This record gives sequence, structure tokens and C-alpha cells, in this order.
Amino acid sequence: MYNVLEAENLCKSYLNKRALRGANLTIQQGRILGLLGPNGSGKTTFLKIAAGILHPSSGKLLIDGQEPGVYTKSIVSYLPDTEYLFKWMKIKDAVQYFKDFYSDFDEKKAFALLEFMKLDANSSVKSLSKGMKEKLKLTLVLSRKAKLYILDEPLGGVDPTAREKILDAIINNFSENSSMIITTHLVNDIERIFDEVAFISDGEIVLQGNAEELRLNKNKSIDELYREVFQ
Amino acid sequence: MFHLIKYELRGKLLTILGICLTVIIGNLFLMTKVDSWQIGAPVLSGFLGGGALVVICIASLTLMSDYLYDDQGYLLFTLPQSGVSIMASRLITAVIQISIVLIVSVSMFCLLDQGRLLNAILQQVEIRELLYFILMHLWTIVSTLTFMYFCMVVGRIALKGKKVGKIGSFIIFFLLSIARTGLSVAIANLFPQMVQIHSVTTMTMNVGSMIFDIVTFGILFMATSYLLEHKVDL
Repeated sequence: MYNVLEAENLCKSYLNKRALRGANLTIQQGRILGLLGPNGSGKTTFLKIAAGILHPSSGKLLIDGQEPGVYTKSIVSYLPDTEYLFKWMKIKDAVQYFKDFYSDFDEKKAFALLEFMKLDANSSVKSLSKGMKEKLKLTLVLSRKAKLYILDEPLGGVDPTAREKILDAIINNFSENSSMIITTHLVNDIERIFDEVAFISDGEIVLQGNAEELRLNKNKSIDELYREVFQ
Repeated sequence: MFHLIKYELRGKLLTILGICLTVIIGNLFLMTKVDSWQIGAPVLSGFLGGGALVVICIASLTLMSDYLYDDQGYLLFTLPQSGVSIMASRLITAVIQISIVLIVSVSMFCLLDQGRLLNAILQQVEIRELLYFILMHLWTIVSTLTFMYFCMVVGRIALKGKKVGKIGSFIIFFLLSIARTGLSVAIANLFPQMVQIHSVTTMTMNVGSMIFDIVTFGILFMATSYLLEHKVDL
């Protein structure tokens, strides 16, 4: 198994703030990694650098052996925590948009997922609730056959029933040839799907390991471990 | 790139339609008054067309601004598209939408004017001049927007905040415009060679300034493309 993502001493500074302070992280093919940390710990900054929409101040991040750019964007499927779809779009337009731009997009899978999520392809994007928008974004992102999926708070603002649905969609659509990195505050809801976890605090990875081994060694759930690390 | 153009045009469809409808309805109203406002009606029609062009030009600028400052940027900048593709699609979209509004405005003016001005122009203008005007129309849109997009992108990178970035872009635009005009005038004085466009009138063009404008456009286009791909942080 090779490392799909490798980050070495990754730093990102803004004018008066250091968001990342030498973060080191690797993700192997076929693994789902949970990147966990409190607000402002640098999770989203890390993901945005991996998605190619933020540039590091120093350090190195490679995806499939390449720096973020046009190639990595073609193999990374990124779910941001923003409402980024055009307001004029209907759901079917959004599907067509992804089909037009990503050669790895599977239209059949997208419509199957829309059905699973109970979303009407003729609905307008702007008429959707927050939870429905989240489901739509996830549908689009998971309908790609990407090498790396990056999901930033996929359960944010979603009710518990929808959370289960979203988690099921993630598990059912994940392939062994891909890798996934997920950030969340709702550790308890999602920890069952993690193969690996990395705790990030103040821009540094303070603990990384196999989720099952951490549970056994510490005799705690990942949620309890999270609370202990960040108390 | 053509997909980018398709979605940008689709996104601005309502704006383009709205402007064109306003121009058409405005001119239809003026046509009902053309007997009593013999001079006023064509003048107002001209103003209406001019206003429509200003609005569509502003809409062309917001194309870039939306991507730089709003969440839509996440959609564009995560696509596997190069900076050159993004810039080229932006410019082609702008040319198309400005040309649509221009054609509608000119057509409505000609209908109102019953083709008098058009006939007068066509009788005096040579084919190569007509081609020159069309080329100049395209060149003006492309070079002006490239310059403005460059200022917007530099403002976005240098000054992170939305408000500060936009004001900064305007200041950068103002300063660079002065520098660019100064350089262009200096080059025109240094190399006074002219090309005559029209065989009868004295319509001319300075060769030095023209080369300077083309080189400046090339540099700004490539620089903006590079900055979009490698330096813009969302």
C-alpha cells in the first residue's frame, strides 16, 4: 500500500496567525482517516491545502506524489463546508456540472445516490434546506471515482437521521482503491468508520494512529480520547 | 474551457436577458415618440445602449469578483482547470455577453433611426475599416478586462479581506493605469511611426503604442493566469 497523501512540516501563516505549525500526516491507500480537533486547530486549513485552494507558507504536501495542482484536483474529490453550488442550478444541473468537469464522475451512481438521499433532481438548489444541501454535496462528491476524498464536516448542521444516511452513503460508496480524510466535531457519530485518526491541536498533529489500536491500548472510545486530549 | 464558458454564460443569462429586454422595451417606447422627439429619441436610444454596455461590463467584472470573494470560488478553484483556461474562459464569456448587448443596442438604434446613420456609415467606411472596428471592439474588451482582472487578483492576494481587497484593487488599478498610460505616451513619442487605417481620412495608429499594448496584454494575461492557479488562497 502506498501513501496517497504525505504532508511534511506543513506550515501556513496568515498575517497575525499561524494556522499550521509543521503538521506531519500520511494517509495510505484504502484507509479512512479522521482528522479531529477543536475549532481553529487547523483542520480546514490542512484540507484546503490538500484540495489545492490554499497554498502553504512552507513545508510539503504531496498527493499521489504530486504537489496540489491541476492533476491532483482531478483525483481529489473535495467536500467543503461552504454552500458553493450556483444558486441558479437545479440538482440535475449540478450533476451535469460535475459530469462535464470530472472524467471520473459516475452519473448513474449520482442519480442512485440522489434517490437514496430522497432528493428530487428537478429541485432548485436554493430551495433546499441545509441538510438537503449537505446531502446533495455529498452525492456529487461520492459519485466520483477519486483516489482521495476530502470531507470537511460532512455532518455539519444535519439532523441525526440524516447523519445516519450520510454515514451509510460514505461507507457504501467507499472503494478499497481510494482513501478518505474526514473532519468532524461529531466524533461519537462517525468514529465507527475511521481506520485511522489524527488529533490536531494548534496547527500540529499531536497524536496519530490506528483507530482500533488506540481504542484497545487506551481502553477508550475515540470520542473519549478526543475529550481527554482536548479537555 | 468551453464548459466553463457554458456555465458562466448560463449564470449570467438572466442579467443578459434583462439588459436586452430593457434596451428593446426602451427603444420601442422611443419609437412611439420618434415623431415628436426627432433628435431626442435617437440620442436617448444611444444613451440607453451606452448604459446597457456599462451594466454588462460591470457584470463581466463581477464574474471574477464572485469567484475571488464568494463561496463559488470553491467550485471553480477545485476544478482540474489551469489558470490559463480560467482566464481565457472569463474573457471569452465577457466578449460574448458584451457583444450580445452591443448588437441588440445597435440593432434597436438602427430600427429607431430607420437605418439612416448605418447607411451613412456604410457609404463612407471601407471593408477593412469595418474589420478594424470589429477587431478593436474585441481588443478593447479583452485588454481592458485583462488589466482589471489582474488588478482584482493582485488586490485579492495582497489584501485578504473582502472590503480591503476590493478597495485595494481599485487603488492598484488607478496607479497602474497612470503608469501604463505614461509609458504608452513615452513610447509613442520615442517611436512616432504611424500606420494609416483609412485611405481618405487621417485615421492613424501608433505602431510603438500598439506593440506596447499587445506585450502588456500578454504579460498581464499570463501573470493573472499564474496568480489564479498558484497564489489565490480561499
